[in-house]
Amino acid sequence: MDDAIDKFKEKFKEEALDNVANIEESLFQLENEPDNKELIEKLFRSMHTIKGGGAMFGFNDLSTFTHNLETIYDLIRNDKLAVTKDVISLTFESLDYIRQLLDLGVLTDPDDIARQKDYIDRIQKYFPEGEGLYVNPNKKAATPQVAAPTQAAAAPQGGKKNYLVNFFPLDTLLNNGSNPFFIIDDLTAMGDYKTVAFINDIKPFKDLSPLSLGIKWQIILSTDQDVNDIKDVFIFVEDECKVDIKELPDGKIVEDTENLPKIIDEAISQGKLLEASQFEIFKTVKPEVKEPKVEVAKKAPTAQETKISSMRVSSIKIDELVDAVSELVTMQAQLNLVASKIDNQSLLAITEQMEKLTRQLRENSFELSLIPLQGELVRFQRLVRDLCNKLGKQIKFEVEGGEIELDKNIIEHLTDPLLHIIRNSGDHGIELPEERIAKGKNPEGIIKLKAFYSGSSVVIKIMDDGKGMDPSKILNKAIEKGLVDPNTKLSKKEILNLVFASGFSTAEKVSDVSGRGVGMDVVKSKIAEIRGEVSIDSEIDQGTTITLDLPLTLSIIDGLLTKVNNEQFIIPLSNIERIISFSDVDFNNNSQSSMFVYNNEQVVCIKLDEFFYKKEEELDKAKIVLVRWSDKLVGLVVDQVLGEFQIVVKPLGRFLRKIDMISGASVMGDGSLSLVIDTTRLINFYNQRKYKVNH
Amino acid sequence: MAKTVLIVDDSESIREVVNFTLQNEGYDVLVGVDGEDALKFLDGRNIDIVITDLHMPNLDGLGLIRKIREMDAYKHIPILFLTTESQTEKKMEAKEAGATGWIIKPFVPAKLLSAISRVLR
Repeated sequence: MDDAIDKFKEKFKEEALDNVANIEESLFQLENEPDNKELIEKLFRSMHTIKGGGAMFGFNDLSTFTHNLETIYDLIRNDKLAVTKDVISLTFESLDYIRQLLDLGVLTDPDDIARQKDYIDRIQKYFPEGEGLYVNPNKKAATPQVAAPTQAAAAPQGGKKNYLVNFFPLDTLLNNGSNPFFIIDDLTAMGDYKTVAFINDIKPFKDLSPLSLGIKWQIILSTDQDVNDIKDVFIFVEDECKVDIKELPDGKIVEDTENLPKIIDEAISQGKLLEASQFEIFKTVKPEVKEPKVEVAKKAPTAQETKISSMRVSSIKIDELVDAVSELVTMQAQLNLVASKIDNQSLLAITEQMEKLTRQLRENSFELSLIPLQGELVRFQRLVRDLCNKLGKQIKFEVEGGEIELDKNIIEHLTDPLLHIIRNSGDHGIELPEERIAKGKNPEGIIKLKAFYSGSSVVIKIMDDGKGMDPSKILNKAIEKGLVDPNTKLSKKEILNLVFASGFSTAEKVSDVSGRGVGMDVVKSKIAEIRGEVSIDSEIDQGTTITLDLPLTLSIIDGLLTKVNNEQFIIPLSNIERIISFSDVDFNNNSQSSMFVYNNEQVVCIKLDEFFYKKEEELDKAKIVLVRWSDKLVGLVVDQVLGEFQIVVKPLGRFLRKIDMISGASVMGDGSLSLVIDTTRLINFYNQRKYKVNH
Repeated sequence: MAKTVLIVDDSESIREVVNFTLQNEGYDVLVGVDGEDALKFLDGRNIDIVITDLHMPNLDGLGLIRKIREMDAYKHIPILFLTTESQTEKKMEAKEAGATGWIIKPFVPAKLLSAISRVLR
């Protein structure tokens, strides 16, 4: 049965992470409204849930730690401790630690254990004397507060003992759902017994209330269990009854057929309760060991009735569903094609109905994989807060459009680039408070994340009101680094976009915050991986805006279907700048050259048939598809352009997955197969292998 | 006939463990995510026992217990609460609100079942 616990361990982890995220979110609010009781209550509750679940699912160290953290908020909600910046910072740190603990599980490494103790010591500094003791939930679990009537318990000193148990229920016993007969059943299940009921206090019929019992029970019990086990039976009703347990002499009392009936009869007829002293006469008799009775009650499983409004589904299942539906969409296209060829009215009617359903199913299942941006926002907020502390800046993080939903795969790829951009804005964009005041700005800077839908894409803008970027500085630097020719004339936008070129970093010196080596070029390539675009705009002393243009979903794209060596290839439409005829191009009269000039820009051509098949076809009918690669144009030479299609991209199988210049495959309506080219990767690969596109 | 248990907890993992354990034992299970949510089940239908957490948003365990005790249909059904608190204070409060008994977290499924068997047969 404890498998049940293991089974839900993962669920607990997910849930605990959610709770940590919730706490983080509430903490930010608490920083602004330290007196908000409701927030404190919410924080406490989330911690409590982590603590309780932790102990249930084997995360005892987590539970212990959270207990300490929770105690702080218990003190706060009882007005024994004030919400200070220190407390909030400590909590933030603790949350990071809780995340680690969720990964670590039970601590075994002595270093980890020492670290846990350090953390706990730091938390306990806030405790007044004697509050919030270090409780190990393990130990708590070991003392059964609610024990089953345990017949199997070993007999103390190898024999049964006799007890006289008084059980006098008060009138309140029935009010809270207790049943006195269950208690008597539990008692009598512990061994052999005689029960005596005194009914003298039952009221006459006219005054009788079904809610008051008026019965007193006395049970003579012969059991191999001890007094604590007997007391345990009354644990829920301690305050609703009078219980008294007296030990009687050892020996046969319950089984006695001579003296016991007499004693009982006398007591009942006189209305006098049994006294332990009356049992002295049994003192010499030897006890007889009897096997305890074990009752097993098993209920048959029956139909279940469980209703719940939302549920957690593994993301793998959703991916599988989306895959299957994509497959269905492809099959539907084939069906449409076949049906229109056969031209049978009833088949056409069914096909049409099917298509409706398929479309609906497609929409629904794609919706499933959309998650709101909201979930990631706390991390950004956290980052801004940490930046403020580290850099001595005042920054307010604002969000607009947190409810915007994106494919979860896109969100996963988005977090790192966004963190990087925000870190840059905080580190290099927003000025120090003094500097801002000197410029006549509000000492508190603003970083704003704004998300909105635009056509079939989602736009995310990160705007700051910092010092902005100086185009002349950027240009100088780019020239210095040999990224641009000093003689070329560039527009302001072109200059600003140089920051995305690899090897460019605007940081004048490498700071602790922005780190070394990771520049905006990485952001750009990461965004390109999810078929997004990045652009930048900046105004000196007014701020910088970085705009991400992202597709709604990764699995359906608009693509250009082309033919190379009689095989079909798809080039994502979003990367394509223009298509030109091969024959129109002047290769400087040099047929060996792969370079030409287009609109004053040098373009390198990659002949795909040569690239993929190591052979060169007649190129007279060929087309050159110009695609953007970083800030350059690259021409992909294909034999034929077939047209524009909506493409369901399917991942390649296990063996082909390593070929990263092919991002997937797609089955076309006529059943033929085509490969989707990842142009960025293809050009990167071409670059490394052979020629330089850089010039 | 199978007995019906209403479980109320804001923690999904706890709900699932309890639900799983009880269904395995043949109980019919109704699940509420907090006190407020649980009220929708208390519409006069047969419910044999309520097992509720104490700390919950919207309507907490104490509030739920009090509300249940005000309803004629459920005035006397057993109510168990889940608690990590070993302090008597919280237990007393819940008992005063009308709870029948409690289950200390962490618990293993066997402990949960034995606690139920104390108050429901």
